[in-house]
Amino acid sequence: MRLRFKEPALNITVTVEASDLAELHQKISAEIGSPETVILSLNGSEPLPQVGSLSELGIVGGDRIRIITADPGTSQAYIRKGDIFEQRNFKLEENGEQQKTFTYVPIPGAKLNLLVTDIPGAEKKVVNMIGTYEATVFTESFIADSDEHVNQQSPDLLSKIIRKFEDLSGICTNNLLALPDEILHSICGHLDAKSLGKLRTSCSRLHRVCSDEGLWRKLYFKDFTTIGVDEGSWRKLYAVSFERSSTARPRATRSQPAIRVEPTFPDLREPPRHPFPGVPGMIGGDYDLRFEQNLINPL
Amino acid sequence: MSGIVTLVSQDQQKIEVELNVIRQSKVISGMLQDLGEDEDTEYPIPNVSHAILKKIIEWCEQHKEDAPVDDEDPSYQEKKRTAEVPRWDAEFLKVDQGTLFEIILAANYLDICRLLDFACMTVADQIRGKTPEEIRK
Repeated sequence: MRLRFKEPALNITVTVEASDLAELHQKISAEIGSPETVILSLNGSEPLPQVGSLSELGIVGGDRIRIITADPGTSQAYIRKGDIFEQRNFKLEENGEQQKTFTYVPIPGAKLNLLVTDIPGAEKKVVNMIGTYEATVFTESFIADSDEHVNQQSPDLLSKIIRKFEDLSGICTNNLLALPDEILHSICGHLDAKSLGKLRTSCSRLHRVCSDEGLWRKLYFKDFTTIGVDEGSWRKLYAVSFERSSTARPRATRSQPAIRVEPTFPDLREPPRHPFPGVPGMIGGDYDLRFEQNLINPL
Repeated sequence: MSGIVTLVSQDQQKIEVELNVIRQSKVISGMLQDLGEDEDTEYPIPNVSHAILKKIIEWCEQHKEDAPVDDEDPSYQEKKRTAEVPRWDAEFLKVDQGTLFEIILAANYLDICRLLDFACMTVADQIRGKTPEEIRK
């Protein structure tokens, strides 16, 4: 049976398939990545038993199941990462009628005020999320037409708030920067020049990783068939060559002062795999060293 | 010799796994050589949580028939640059980013180079075509 379930505080809807209650609990826990089995309720009423048949309780496909978290003081909020929702833990500190205060569990000292105000006579609501970290206060807000709209917008807004918390505190809870440089480097090895360039401008650590000469040298030989003059770095050389090629498409990088490199060093060890015939492949070691010399003193 | 070994994850939970499945991890494979393939021995994997270790074993199960690869081999290096993530692996890696990063760290630690490569490619795919602002998210 296919069932939809909703999270009550910052609602999201997820569909799971389950044949009995035990399976339902287990699947929903897995779906939201909860380490413990979640407690569920049907349309916000009493908690459901953990085992038993679905039909006995009158649960039918399409019913809305709600998650009641095991710890009543903690809310699982969801933030949007691309198409995927990720669960983050907030602890409810104060539960006022209009205003709720939460602390963000992964970052000590990070506080979130959620303020929902009705606009009189307009059937609209103003949703304010006020983040506080040490002396810094910042706000994200939007005007919603309906509860449904509030639920749709909240994960995006929350992502911004959490992002800001991470910036301010320097604690990265769950992103690329949690990975060591060597892995970031190998991820970068799968990127094209445009993406690498963009990634390079996203923060200082990625700037360092993405400026690696080896990465740009590889990209250069992938995308261009000529050797340009020495620009001091492969990245700059790439940029100059790209500039040149984009003014004279397609792939017309053979104009001066670029010097066409003839395949003077045929690769004897393996057949050329390069899409452009006559271009030496990059194989590293002595071979590339000869190439570097060539760059300074072409042919 | 039953061909089964017991791994103990970071949170002290035990997982039994077939020898020929887990041999894809060079670290575990090396550990088996050093400590001897004894079914009574428990092999600690202190850097990997139970949930992630289960995922890793699931991946190894799927790939146990594959020919071993040598990641130092230049022809493999070349191949992986142009290869795409196979469909099963792409499905397998459709997880939230936190889990994906944990899988990467575990694959790196356990030295399962193909899983690491696929996971890195998946992250690269997610980065591709995004603005710096979107990446920061």
